[in-house]
Amino acid sequence: MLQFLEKKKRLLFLLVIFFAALALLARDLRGRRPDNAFDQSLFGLLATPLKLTAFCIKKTRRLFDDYFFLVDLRQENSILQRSLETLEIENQLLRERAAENQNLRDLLAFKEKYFYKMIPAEIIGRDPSSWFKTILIDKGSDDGVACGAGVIAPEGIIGQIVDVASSTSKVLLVTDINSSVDAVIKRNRTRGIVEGQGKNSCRLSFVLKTEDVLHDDILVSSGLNGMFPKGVPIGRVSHVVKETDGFFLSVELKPLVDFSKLESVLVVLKEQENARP
Amino acid sequence: MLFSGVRLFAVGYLLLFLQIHEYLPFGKQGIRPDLLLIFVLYNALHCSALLAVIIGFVAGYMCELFSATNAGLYITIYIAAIFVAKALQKYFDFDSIRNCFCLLLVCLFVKLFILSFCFLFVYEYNFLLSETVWLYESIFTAALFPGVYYLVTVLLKKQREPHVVFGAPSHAHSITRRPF
Repeated sequence: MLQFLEKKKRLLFLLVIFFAALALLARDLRGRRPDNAFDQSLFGLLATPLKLTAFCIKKTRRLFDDYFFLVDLRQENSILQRSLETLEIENQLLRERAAENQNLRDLLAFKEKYFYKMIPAEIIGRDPSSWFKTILIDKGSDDGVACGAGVIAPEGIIGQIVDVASSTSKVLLVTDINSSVDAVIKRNRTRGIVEGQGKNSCRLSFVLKTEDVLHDDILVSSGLNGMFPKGVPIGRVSHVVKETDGFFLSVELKPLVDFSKLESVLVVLKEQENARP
Repeated sequence: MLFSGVRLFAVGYLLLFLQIHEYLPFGKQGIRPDLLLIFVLYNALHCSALLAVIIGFVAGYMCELFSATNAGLYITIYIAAIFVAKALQKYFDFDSIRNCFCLLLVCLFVKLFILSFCFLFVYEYNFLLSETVWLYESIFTAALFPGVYYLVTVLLKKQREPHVVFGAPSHAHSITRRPF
């Protein structure tokens, strides 16, 4: 027996490595790799060249955009001036409404437990695989980003931070199969959980068959988990099926954000009320 | 030895970099080719089994650092691909690019098998969708195979050349071609 082991020790060693990999896979079934300092440091180190090259490419592009491609600048300037005037008027009206709203909130003694500070971040990389949906951004723990922070864009929710290094972070997109976000339908406040499906779509889970869900309904964040501000758009209902068995509706939705065209995002930093300036 | 290790790591990282960088052609694509699989296969064919497995482990680990996948998925895929390559190397000659291409196709099916297992039992993933994604990714990887394989060959060429000492090839070269 010992002779056999001695003879085949190379093969046995390789098999041990293979089964170690399988054991590693089995350990984290339906969960993610637990964060550890080594992984974070290595992730930060390997992501640094991505960040540097993305920065250089962006600067070069901006240089070309600013100095070499200014052909229609005068015309664009006049259009923007007009647009600015319109927006200034609109802004005044909105300020008045905001002040009125603030007064009403004060009257109702409405107090927000948290308020949100946001920092802009640039996308520097994407998931190496085609099955999982993550992006890498150029902001990390040095900028105040922490695991679990929400990431949004003006069009809607992007995802949440799952790994943080000192100057880079990994964002799990809302379309990834591991992602879930608490949401409500804007029209009638029906609650559900938005779960990623791996492709460029999500599904709304745990919505009872008795609820009224229509095609083209907009889903927004409920704000209950404190990760995202309340009312940020998530997606539009694209398909509703009332299956014969089961308690819940089968609802599919399309995210409002086009992830393939995304270049920059906002990271939502949650701060306690006493940190409010 | 250290220089060789650094060079192997640098080439692997370069391919991962090409695969995931936002401003490079594959970054914006929904489907990305598996360039690291080509790198792993090259090393499986040109290194000893032990070194190839270590390279496969590191490549899989690097891949998982940037991915949302569970720990071990890519490590398992790459090590399984190395095992298949080493097993087939006993029976086939992989000096021609055509045979290497056939090996890549076999390894892509091995990848499909492992992924299918994971998607059926680990993730709640649409199985049909995963097969479709696999098909597109495989076509993409296969289309880029000759170019990437050539690039890896060029970048690691000096390391594979026999060290000629006083006109005779050294022992080191024979070790690199030892069958599994």
